Amino acid sequence: MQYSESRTRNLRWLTYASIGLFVISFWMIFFYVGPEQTQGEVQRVFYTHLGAFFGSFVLFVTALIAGIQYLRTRHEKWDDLGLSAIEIGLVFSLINIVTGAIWARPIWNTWWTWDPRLTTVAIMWLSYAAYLMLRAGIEDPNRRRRFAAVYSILAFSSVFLTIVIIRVRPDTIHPVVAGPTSTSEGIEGEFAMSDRITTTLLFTIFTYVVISITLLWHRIRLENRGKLIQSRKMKLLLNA
Amino acid sequence: MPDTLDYMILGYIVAFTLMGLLIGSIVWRYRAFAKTEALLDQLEASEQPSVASTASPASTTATNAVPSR
Repeated sequence: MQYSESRTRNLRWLTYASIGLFVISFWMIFFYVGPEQTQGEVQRVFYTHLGAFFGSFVLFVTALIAGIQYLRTRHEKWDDLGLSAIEIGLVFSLINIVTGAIWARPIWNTWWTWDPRLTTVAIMWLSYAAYLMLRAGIEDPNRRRRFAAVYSILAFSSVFLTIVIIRVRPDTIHPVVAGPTSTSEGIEGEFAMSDRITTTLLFTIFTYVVISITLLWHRIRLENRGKLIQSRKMKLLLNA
Repeated sequence: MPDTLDYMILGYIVAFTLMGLLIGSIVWRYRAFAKTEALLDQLEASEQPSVASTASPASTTATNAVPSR
């Protein structure tokens, strides 16, 4: 597959922009914003924790759209988009879970607890991990793509549940950063959002979203390149 | 203010390692594909003359077959 010069140039610029944004957000997290009074230095993990969640959210929404589009058009490119988005989304989601566990150790005095939010995020991660495993088990390409599309649509319900759960379940201890909450009585680890914290948080979220899009674009190109190589190999074998 | 610096360092080591592994795997696969493409270029280049040489006797046979009919 030949890409147009302008598209390649755009991807290159997006990659440079991602690196630049990452450096700026790194500076903001460690130098612009000070340590939080009640939690200390570990609160800085929170920016990456939330940024990675938003990155994975964008990727899982992309996979949902790709799944719907594949079922509508049956075009292979939507399947490639869905696969790429889920693969990268899983890593972002893993960063979110692991950094959350590390933040929880000094704040909640435990690495993990079966809180509603933590449980739903674990279900979400496992659902998308299962997508890759189940997909790899289907040999017929058309059946595999159809299955993957339906699965990515159904798996999105776990993302929706993860977002909604802390707003409807009163027994959660997970802090709610934005939007309404059912109660704040049991929440542990909340902190006051100063202007600098809010600015750094929003900037880091934006950075992670841009990074996720950049990586997705590279991953799609990788998928296309792999397919091209496969077809060239087949051609050579047939000629041999 | 509690001393939670160790957890912050651990958090960022884990986050950057995971991100590094993701980016590293993409770069590694790009490079592996580039190597395979170079190999395929070589094979296709060496295949060209043999394809041409195998094509010509076949076409000769085909042309020979026409008059006999």
